[in-house]
Amino acid sequence: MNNQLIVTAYFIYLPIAILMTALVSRKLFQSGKVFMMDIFNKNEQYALSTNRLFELGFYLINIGFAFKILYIQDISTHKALIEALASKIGGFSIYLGMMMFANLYLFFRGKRIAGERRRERMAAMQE
Amino acid sequence: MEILAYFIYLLLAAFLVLMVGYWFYHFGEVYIIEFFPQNQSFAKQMNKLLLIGYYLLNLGLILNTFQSNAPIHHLPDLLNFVLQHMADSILIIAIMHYNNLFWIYFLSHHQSFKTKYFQS
Repeated sequence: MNNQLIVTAYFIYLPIAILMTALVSRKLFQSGKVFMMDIFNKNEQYALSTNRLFELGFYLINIGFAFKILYIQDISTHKALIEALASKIGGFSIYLGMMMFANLYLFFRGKRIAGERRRERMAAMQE
Repeated sequence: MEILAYFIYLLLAAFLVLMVGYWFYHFGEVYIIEFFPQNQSFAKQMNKLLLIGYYLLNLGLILNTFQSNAPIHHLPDLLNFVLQHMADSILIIAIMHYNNLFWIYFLSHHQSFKTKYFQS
């Protein structure tokens, strides 16, 4: 039960997890703006606000998950340290990827539905 | 040791709740105004009420964690305590947030809003 090793593991895992979340979130919601402008019909206020709200939700749920899986029971050797870190960071990466794909799916779905509604509206206006 | 842990957790959780609460209040104003188009000041008051309710809920949750009986001997236990309870707060806030977004989405498809989107 080496406290120094466990604290080292925590201080390596936390910055990496938070940094990964921040980077993925920035990239994802930079392109998210384009989707939002399309879905909300160029209404900038709605588009940027919604994007911000989704970005905040993304940060919250990912950082919450990162903290939740933090606990390391026991590390006795440096080998165990590397293995514990690898399993935590790896698991978190996979989860982050899935969350990113889920958000991307929501963007695409929103765009498709907005397109369908627009076409319905055009058709209704022409009658 | 436990008191130090409670103190650190209180600081971090208070910071989180205040910042996140303000962001949702600020960026969500557009949506509340959409639900009460004729009466903007009422919408803004409603927004403030929601913010207050949010603060109360989170305050309750934070104070609830002060009852945990886990002993804290070393630094890893301290870090673990603070971060686990932060995780609980963050995840509860996230669930409430996505719930709010769902209801905004669901209610915006009510008949009275469709004409508004068609005009834009």
